[in-house]
Order: sequence, then C-alpha cells, then structure tokens
Amino acid sequence: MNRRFLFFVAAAALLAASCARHEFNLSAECPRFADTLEASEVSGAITLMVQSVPDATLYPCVERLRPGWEVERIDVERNRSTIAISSDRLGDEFLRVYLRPSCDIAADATVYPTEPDEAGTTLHEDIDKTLAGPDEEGEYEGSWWYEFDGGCVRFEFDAEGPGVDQIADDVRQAFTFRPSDPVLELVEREFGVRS
Amino acid sequence: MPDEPILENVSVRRRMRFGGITVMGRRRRPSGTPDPLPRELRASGRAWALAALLVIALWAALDVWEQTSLWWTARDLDVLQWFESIRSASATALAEAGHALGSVWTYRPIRWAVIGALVGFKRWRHLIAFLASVIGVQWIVTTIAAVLGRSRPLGIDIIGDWEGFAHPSLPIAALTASLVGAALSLIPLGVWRTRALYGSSLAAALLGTSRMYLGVDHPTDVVVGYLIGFAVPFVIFRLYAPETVFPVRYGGGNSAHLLIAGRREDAIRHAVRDQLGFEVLDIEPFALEGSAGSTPLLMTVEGNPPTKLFGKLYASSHLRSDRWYKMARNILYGALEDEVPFSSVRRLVEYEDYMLRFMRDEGLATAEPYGFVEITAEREYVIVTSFLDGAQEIGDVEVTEAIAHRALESVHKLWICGIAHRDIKPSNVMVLDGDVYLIDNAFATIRPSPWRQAVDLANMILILSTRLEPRIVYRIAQQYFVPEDIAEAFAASTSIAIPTQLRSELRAYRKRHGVDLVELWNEITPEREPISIQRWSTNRVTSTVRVLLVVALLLIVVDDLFGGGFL
Repeated sequence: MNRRFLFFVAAAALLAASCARHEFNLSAECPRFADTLEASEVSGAITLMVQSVPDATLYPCVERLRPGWEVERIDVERNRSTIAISSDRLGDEFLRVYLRPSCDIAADATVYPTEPDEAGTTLHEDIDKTLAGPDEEGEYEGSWWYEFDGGCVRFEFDAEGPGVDQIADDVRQAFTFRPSDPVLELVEREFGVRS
Repeated sequence: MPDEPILENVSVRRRMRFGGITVMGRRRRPSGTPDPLPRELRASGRAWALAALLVIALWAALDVWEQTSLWWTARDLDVLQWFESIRSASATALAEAGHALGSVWTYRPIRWAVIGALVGFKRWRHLIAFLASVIGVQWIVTTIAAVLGRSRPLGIDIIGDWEGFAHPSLPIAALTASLVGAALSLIPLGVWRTRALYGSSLAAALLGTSRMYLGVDHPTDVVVGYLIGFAVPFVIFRLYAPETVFPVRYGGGNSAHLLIAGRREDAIRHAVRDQLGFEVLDIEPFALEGSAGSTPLLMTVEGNPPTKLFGKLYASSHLRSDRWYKMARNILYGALEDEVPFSSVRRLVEYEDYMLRFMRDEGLATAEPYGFVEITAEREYVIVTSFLDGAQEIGDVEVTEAIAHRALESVHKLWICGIAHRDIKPSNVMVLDGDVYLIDNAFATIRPSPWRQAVDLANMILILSTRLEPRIVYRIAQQYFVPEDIAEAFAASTSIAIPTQLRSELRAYRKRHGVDLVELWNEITPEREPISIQRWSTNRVTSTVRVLLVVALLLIVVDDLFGGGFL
C-alpha cells in the first residue's frame, strides 16, 4: 500500500464519518433514555434546542415517525426552535413544532387532558377538522399548545389529504417531551460548566 | 587532445539581421520551467490557502479527538468569561450596534449592489467569481457547522440573537466574503483595494468582538469564520479571475481586450524573444476599436531601423466569447453550415497561422505570418505578422476604380483558391499603395460551401457600393464574375450574413441617399430566389434544448438562493 492509497482511505473514512455526524447533528430524535444520557446519544440539534429556550424544563423530540413522514428542517435560534415535518400524503410541512419561552394561545382554545408522557404540561387545542375515511380527503388545521414551566411547545397543523383522521394519534406517537435537565447535566459533565 | 564538448554553443544567443530585422537565437523552454506568464496563486494566495488547510486540520482534530474539542472550548470560555465580566449597559448598547453588521440586512444589500454593478459593467467573470465566493462560503460554513454540531457558548449568559450551530460563525463568514468579494471584483488593484480589504477585516473584527461580548460566538468560531470568509473569495478570484488576466479597470476599453502592462507585457517580450527570436523594444495596444475577438498589438522590434510587427493576443476569454456568439447564432438563425467553435485557444491561433500561410502560398495579398508564441499554455497566445505600415482601412481612403478592381480581384482569387474569408467588413479590408489586403483571417475556411463564398462577394460589393457609384462597381465586378454569380451573392446575403459594421454603414447610406443598397443590387442583378439559411440541424436542436435546460437550472438555483438566504 502506498502513501497515496492510505491518504485516500483516510480521506474517505473521514468523509464517511463526517456525513454520519452531519446527519446525526441535524436530527431531532429523542435520546434512548430520558434521564441517563451519553454524549453520543444527544444530537447537536437537541443540545441547541435546549440552549435556545434555557428556562424551559422540557423539550420536544421525535420518538417514531410513521412511514411516509420525514423531518423537513430544524431551525434553532435564540428563543425559538422549529421542527418541520412533511408527509407524502398530507403535504409539505403539514406540521410545525415550535419550542418557545411562552405560549400565545388562541382565545377560543379548549383545555384537554394530557397523555402520561406529557405529564407536567397543560394542553390547549384549537383545531378545525374535516375528517373522512382512511383513503378519503380530509383537513386538519389549527394548533395544540403544551404549556409547562419555563416554556411552551406549539404543534401547528396545516394538513390535507387521505389519512387525516389518524393524524392526532400519529403525531402523539411521533413526538414526546423530554426533560431539559439531563441535557444540561451532560453538558456540565462534559465541559465542566453549567449552561 | 582534451575532449571538448561538441554542443558547446548550442544555447548561446546569436544575432543576425534579415531585411532590417534583428533575429536573436531562439531558445527552447527546458522541462520544468514555467510559461512566460504562469497562472499562480502568488505569496498572499498561498498564505490564504495555507490558512484554509490549517482550519481543515483543526476541524479534523476536533472531529476525531474529543480532547481537542474540550481544550479549545475551555480556552474559548476563558475569553468569553472575561467579556462577561466587563459587561455594562453602554458597552452592551455598542455591542448590539456592532452585532447588526452580521444581519442579513447588512450583507444582502452589499451583495445585490455588487451584483448590480458587475452586471452593469458586464464583468461576467467577476460576477461568477463573486457568486461562487458567497455561495461557496455559505455552503462550506453550513456543512461544517452541521458536521461539528458545536453548541453556543456553555455557562455564558447569552444576551444577543443567534441562529444555528456556533462553529464556524456564519455571520462573520458571510459579511467578510461579501466585503472581500466586493473589493476584489469592483476596486482596481492598488492602494484603494488594499484599504478596502483592511476595512473588511476591521468590519469582521468589530462584528466578532460584538458577538463574543454578547456571548453568541466562541473566539474560534469568529476566527475560523473570518478565515473562511476571506480565504475562499481570495483563492477563487486568484484562480478564476486573476488580476494579470482579468484586471478590474474603469473608463474606456473593451472588456474583450486584455491589459498589456506589467507581467503580461514582460511575458510577451520574453516569449517573442525566446520563441520567435525578435527583441521587442515596445508594445502597445493598436486599433482596439476594430477588434472585439482579440487584443491587437503593435510591436516594435530591434532592427536597423527598428521594425514594426503586428500581433494579436488571444486568450481563453476570447475563445469563450466566440463559442457563445456562434451558439447564439446557431440557435437564432439555424445552422450556418460550418460554424463549429474552436476547441482551444491553441487551436484558434494554430488555425489562423495556418490560414495566413496558406493564403500567402496561394499568392493572396495578406500580412506576412511569423508564427505565434505561447504566453500561458492553453490560455494565452500571441500571433505575430508583418505590420502593414501605412495601410488604411478602405473606409478611410478615397475608393477609386483601381482600388475596386483590386478588391474584387481579391475575392475572385479567394473563389479560385477555394477559400472563404467569412468576415469581410470595412475594418478587415486594408489599402496600401493601391493594393488591397484582407486581414483577420481567423474565420476563413478552405473548401467552404458555395453559399459562404457568395456572401464574401456580396459583402465586398456592398463595401465598395457605399463609396463608389453602384453602376461602376457592377461594371467592374462583371470583369471577374458573371452576372449570375453576383445575383447568387445577393440571394445569399441576408442581414445575418452581413457583418455588424457593414450593416450600420448600409443604414447610414440609406439615411443619406434614401437607397437600400441590398434591394438595389437585387434589382440590377438577374432574378434569383433568396437562399434560405434557416436550416434545422441536430446541432441546432441540441443547442436549443441545452440552453433551455441551463436556463431552467439557473431558475431553480436562483429560487434556491432566495429561499436559502444566500443573497
């Protein structure tokens, strides 16, 4: 093996590792466990999301997307993080999930009970829907707001197409909330600082 | 007897004189030595490329060894904690003002202004280099940021706006690339450009300090963002639009004409001396207004007395212009038979040199060819011929019947020799001591189609008719061509076949005399159906489809640019 060959092998390995890191850092997937985190499990986007709303006690993350759905983009900036989801049946960016320091809830929103994995939150809903059969066209528009200490997560829907009748269950299965503290503790452990 | 080297004097220069011209010994360029005008990065370009390599090495280290990342972050946080400790209300207000430099509302207007100016000045190469710089910087920064996934400063109270990953700093890189790109594409080389580049660094420093004070970026994010923002445009401009070949200048001059000064002038002198053996005493641009496809030169070479030679500098930019021009004609007007573009600058000069030699061998009156020299391999060449000292363009002399005879005789000779000049226009027909010379033979062709030869005749007749009574021209023409030939010439002569310079003369003639010369000649020659040039070919179809695809692709890219926030 000559040096040039070794150089190309090393470059290819570095490129492959970089591509994997690129994908991982841009993912909003939940870490495997809620409490005990390893650095390799927390993507860059998740850490950044926690930094974007530092007082929020929870953050949203992707548990399991149904087939045909994909994360279109993740934008993180000061005081606002956005995860946009697209679907082959319900349209591009039919769902946008925002993490913000506070909620701007519609006046006519209704309070609903929450699921077990949403403990510690208050759910408000303001939805217009036209539901139909599994393969028939329907519409689901409006928002859910989850209010909790230090933050708010808004699910904004603009979905139209077959399968809309399942959308609420599918979104609840796709997303969950995780506590921010373990992420901050991980950072403290790694860098010896508290964010 | 001691051994003496047999080839002792091979490389020694010798001087000889032929017909008043001093000829020096020609020299072969040894292997490994550069071209007379090598394309190179130069010291500053190499320094920036080295800085870019160091940054890449740093990224690799950060990605591979966790300890590197921890060490850098600890040093970065030390600096940020110091900034945090000196925060005050007034300093924060200042930092927020400095932070606005990194806003899209600062660098987008700069980018649009630069693009507008470059389009206005038709400086396409600089425009491409500028776009490549800002888009390239954006792409590099966002890609690396996602790979490294560096969070915002930890343990620091962040009091400024931020977006996305921290390293490298996108606002710093975007602002620096915009300012450096503007300086390199719009400001001529010199003290003002240097000041502008220092100004770009100062703006980046202000923005960087503000962002560190606000706790938004780490110091390494700022430094690496600045290095990328500076190095990428610098290297792109050095390689794609180097100052020696595509200088930024204002006031006069065709953008097709290259600057003959400094390193290029020296390179031409060396090349002509080493490759043709002439010692050049002086070089100056010559008759630039008559040439858009090359840079014509008047060279004075050593001799007794010093002798003038004519040169034409061809560069890859001229070749590209020729390709675009031919493709546009092909799409708009159909296949003009053999409008195949040259594949390289070398082929273009080789062809013109060959045509000059062929025409001379056939006894046609044209400039004496002396060969061509290489300035930068495959990029720049100078073709050298005798200078027709005292010759005037046909438009600048009083055209007599004798001159009309010589002019039509020259076209007749072209027909007999099986050549078409293909660019017969007033600036290419020279008169010297009553003789007519055809110059600028780069587009001439041997064994052309009859249509091409007919067009040559029509154009020469039209040139003469604007200066001499058409009836007289017709009488003289019939001494070299039968009336059917002349009728064929005007049946072939549609507006596309008439050079722009001649077309404007015809318009002026019509304005002055109220006569359309093409119509007049169609009336006085035997009747003949016009020859159609709207011929569809596979080449025309594929060229059209290709252009449509490229336009569609550009629209998609532009749409992405707007959506992606590049501009």
